[in-house]
Parts: sequence; C-alpha cells; structure tokens
Amino acid sequence: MASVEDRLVTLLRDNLLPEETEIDLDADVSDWGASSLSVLKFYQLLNSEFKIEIPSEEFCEIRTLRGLIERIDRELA
Amino acid sequence: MVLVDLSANRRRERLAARLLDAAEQDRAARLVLPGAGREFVLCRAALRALLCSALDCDNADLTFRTETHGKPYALVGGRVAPVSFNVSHSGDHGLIAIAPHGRVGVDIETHDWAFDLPARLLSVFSARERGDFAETRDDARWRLRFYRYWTLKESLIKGVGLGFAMNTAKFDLPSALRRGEADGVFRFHHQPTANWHLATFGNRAFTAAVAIDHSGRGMPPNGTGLPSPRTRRCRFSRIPAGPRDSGPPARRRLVCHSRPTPNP
Repeated sequence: MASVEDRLVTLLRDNLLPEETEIDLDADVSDWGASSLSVLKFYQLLNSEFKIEIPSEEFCEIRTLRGLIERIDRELA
Repeated sequence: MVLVDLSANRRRERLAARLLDAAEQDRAARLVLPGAGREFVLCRAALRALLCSALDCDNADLTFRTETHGKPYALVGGRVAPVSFNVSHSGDHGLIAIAPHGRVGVDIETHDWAFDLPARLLSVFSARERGDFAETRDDARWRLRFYRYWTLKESLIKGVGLGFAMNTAKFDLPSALRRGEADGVFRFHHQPTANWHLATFGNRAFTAAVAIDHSGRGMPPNGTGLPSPRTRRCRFSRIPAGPRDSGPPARRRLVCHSRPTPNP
C-alpha cells in the first residue's frame, strides 16, 4: 500500500499541479496559485480518495502539504 | 468595479511588475501554476493604481496585510487605509471592487467548458439550490447556473472575510437571484442587521458577482438592492503623453475604458 504522501502527490499531479512540478512538502500551498474551484475539486477528491471528511474550515487552515499529510494520518488513525 | 485585462502580454507584465514591492515580486515568482504569476502581477498592480488614485497616495507608501482568513487590507504609510476593496482573478479576467466604507467581496470565474464540474461539487450549495440544478437539464445552462451561484456565494464569503471557513451549503442565495434576476439582498441568520447587496453580471467569457454590506450606512436610493453593476475595463498600456511629474506612475500606467457589462 502506497504511503499517504505518495498517494497525495499522485492525486496532486493528476488533478491540480503540472506533472513536472517539484513538490516541496513545506512550501505554502497558497503559492500554487490555484483557483478556488480547483481547490474545491481537489478537497473533494482528497476526501473521496482517503475516505475521510476533513471539515472545510480545517482544510483551509492547513498551510503546507506536510500539514495536510499529518491531518490525513490523524484522520486515518 | 474594474475589470482588468490579464491576457498574456510581456510588455504590460513588465510595466505592472515595476509597481509591486519586493515581497509581492517574490510572491509572483513563487507561484507554481501556469499563468498564476501573470494574473497576480497584473491584478495587484491594477489594485495599487486604483487605490493610489482613491486614497491620493504614492505607490511607494502603499502596503498590504491580510486578516486571519486571508482577506487583504491596505495601509498607507503604515496606517490602515479608510477603504474597502476586494480582488478576484480567473484566467484572462480580473475584477476589483473598491468601496469607501462597509465590506465588499467579489468573485469572477472564466467560463472554461473543458473544466470538469462533477455533480459532487453541488455539495457547496444548499438543498434548495441543489434542487434548482435538478431542474436544469441543459448542460450549458447547468454550467452557467453553477458559475452564477458559485460566484455569488464566494463573493459573500470573501466579503465577510472568512472564506471557506464558512460553510456555503448552510445558507440560501436570495430567491430573486435564484430566479435569474441580476441583484438581490441577503441577510445571514446570525447577523440579520447586515444587508448584503448581491449582484451578478458577466458575458460569454466570464461570470462575476459582487457582495457589498452597507450596514449602518443606509440602503441605496432604490431600497431594493444594488444599482446595476457599473464596470470599467482596464489594461496596462503605454504611458499617456504628458509631463513626467503629472502624477504618480501608478496613475499614469493604468488605462481604463468605460463600458457597461451585460448580464449573462
């Protein structure tokens, strides 16, 4: 089974970020410059992929991919 | 309100980038997605030009900070500026609203017919609003309804300043707007004294919305909602002829053309 990080990066590359994007787990996700609709779609895909339900108000507080991975890990624990 | 042309143009982008401070230029350089840097630079420079004009200040004295949930506000000479504004951009289209008081939020979405809009996205709407979609069979109309509802909701949550910390499925858009009218008044249940005047507009290329709260400042003269949206179209262009000291550079580099914007 792939790790949460691997699954998340695949999800990102398949749906939001260009394939060649260098993924920095500690970069601010607002630096992607994604549109609100793209972020909304990604948020729903994320919940579906991991079969979790991160509240939207918590999701929008997460600043980095590492923070998101930790949040997913907690949800799956 | 001002519509800003964000289409690719190296010369305009160079002109615009000169108006940004070092932190803004760093941010533009960090943006990852194609076009995101261009959209940010052109829109932020237009915002600077408009605020300098509205506040009668120099571009160098203007800085920005953000509230807890990311809504930006302006400072002039380190002091909070007496103005409300909000910015949205999508593809080649930017939208800026400036108000002398109250709260304001805007959203603009470029119509991208290739962008997948799965039905599960409707979860951002209330049960009543989802019902409206169930009655919309035609795909193009379904999409236009989606853009209209989404921009209205996003303009509201941006106006409030909470962004997606607010659950947009928990409130209904005014019935007038759901019926297809161009404007209406909205009140949150928890804040019934705040009158949010909502308006939607656009054309074949985009849908946009604006939300303005004039609470405590009286209703607009017609008492029912916002006047029809009046927009200007702007793009950075050559510096108009004139003496070099005829005004701050920011004011001389943004060229605006008045043009009414029809409803979608």
